[in-house]
Amino acid sequence: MEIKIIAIAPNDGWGFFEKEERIYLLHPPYTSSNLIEVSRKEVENAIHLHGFEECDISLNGINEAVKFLKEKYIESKETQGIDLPSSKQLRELLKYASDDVLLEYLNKAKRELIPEGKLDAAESIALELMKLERVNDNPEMRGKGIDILDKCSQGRERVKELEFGISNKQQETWRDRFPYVVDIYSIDSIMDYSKSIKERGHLLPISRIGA
Amino acid sequence: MNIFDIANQNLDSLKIRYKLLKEKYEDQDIFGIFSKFVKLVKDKWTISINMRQGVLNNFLIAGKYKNVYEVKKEQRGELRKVRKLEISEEQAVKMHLKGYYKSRVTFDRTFEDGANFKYGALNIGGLGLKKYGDYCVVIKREQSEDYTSLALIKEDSLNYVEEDHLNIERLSQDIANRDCVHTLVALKHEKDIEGIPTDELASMICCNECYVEAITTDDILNKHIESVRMSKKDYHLYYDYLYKNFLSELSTLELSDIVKRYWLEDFRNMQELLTKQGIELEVIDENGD
Repeated sequence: MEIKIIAIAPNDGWGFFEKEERIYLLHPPYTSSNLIEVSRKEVENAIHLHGFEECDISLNGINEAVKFLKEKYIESKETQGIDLPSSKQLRELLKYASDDVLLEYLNKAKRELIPEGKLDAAESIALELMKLERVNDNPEMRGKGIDILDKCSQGRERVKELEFGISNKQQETWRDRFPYVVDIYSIDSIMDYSKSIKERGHLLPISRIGA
Repeated sequence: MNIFDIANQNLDSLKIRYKLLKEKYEDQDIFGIFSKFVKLVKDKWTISINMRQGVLNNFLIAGKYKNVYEVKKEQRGELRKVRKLEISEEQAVKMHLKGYYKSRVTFDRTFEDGANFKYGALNIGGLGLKKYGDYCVVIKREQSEDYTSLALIKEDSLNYVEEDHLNIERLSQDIANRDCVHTLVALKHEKDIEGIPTDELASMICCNECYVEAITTDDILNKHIESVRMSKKDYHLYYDYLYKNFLSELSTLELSDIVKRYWLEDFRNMQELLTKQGIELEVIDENGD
């Protein structure tokens, strides 16, 4: 379904478009609730009072319109010489977060990330939040932060133990299956040899003659 | 013609119409609701302007809110510097407004100093006209009262432009100065207030579909700002994006993730500017939860 973009505010990615003689406003984050029907008078006000620019661009549907507005927004940032912010820069936004948001982060880290084994992410959230004075001064948030860090280190210990367990189990298997070989060679050298066979894909090394 | 003089001249007429309105309701059950509503408007009214993120950030940085004429004048200056291009102020505005040039300019040109008009809306709470910007910039009440020029129009001023002329007669009846804000609002909403819960009165007065327009020629400065309001839904959305950033789920290559990174950066800049300037960010729950 063809639509026509009739006015845009590229600096913010907002736009008005016409579809079947009706006019709609589309703006970030471009969900269905960000799409509202408006009148031509509102487009005029947007252009005159709110810095929109008139344009006349035909596109194939709303998805294309969203892509177009996103591209215009990025283009305007590039024109202004604004670099894409790094993850570290974005984390600074945390210092302005409400207590609700900070608690939600801590709760999610504990309830979702740790059980999913995303220990690095959980730890990173706890550490970043505990840099904030507000979190350290709040016994509830501080307690949750420390709890997350403890749970992460316990989780890592468990992983190590598990790995060690697997390795011990494997050594037992070698001994059971090849008792004479184990008498002659060390477990490590057997494992190295086994690894190189696996990588080569066959038992013996082959050299190419006359190549 | 001076729009502020017209607003002042309508004072007596508004007072008489308001007196008649009060008399009409005096013996009715609704009188209590009506009186409370008028008091609420009297106590809480101020001016607000809805802005998009970029517009708000520029306002906070520049320290002064600019209308389209001022923005174009500035851009004309920049163009002249870069391309040695000579265009008149009128051309610059015409180039910007193109097909939408007529009605708004008809309105502005009807009045003296029209090029200095800054438009806002009457606000007693809520998020204002979100269709023009997610952020509702609320001017301090004492400042709204202090603007040397202030006219309030019952509805959008473009509604008074017919073809190529302004319906002055109708406008003259629908305009008020700061002394008659509550009377104008009472006359406008007399039939709406019954049955509307108190917490919805603010959005009845100022929302996407209905508002009282405010015009001033005074400078609107960042130090006039009482607070900036945004919706709780939007606020939490930004922090959901930031959470994704912690999980390394915001790539630097995908179009939608690049956009989210820039949104977060704009949002961070705004919070930094508001904090530095001692302006409160009010997060409003539209569902009242």
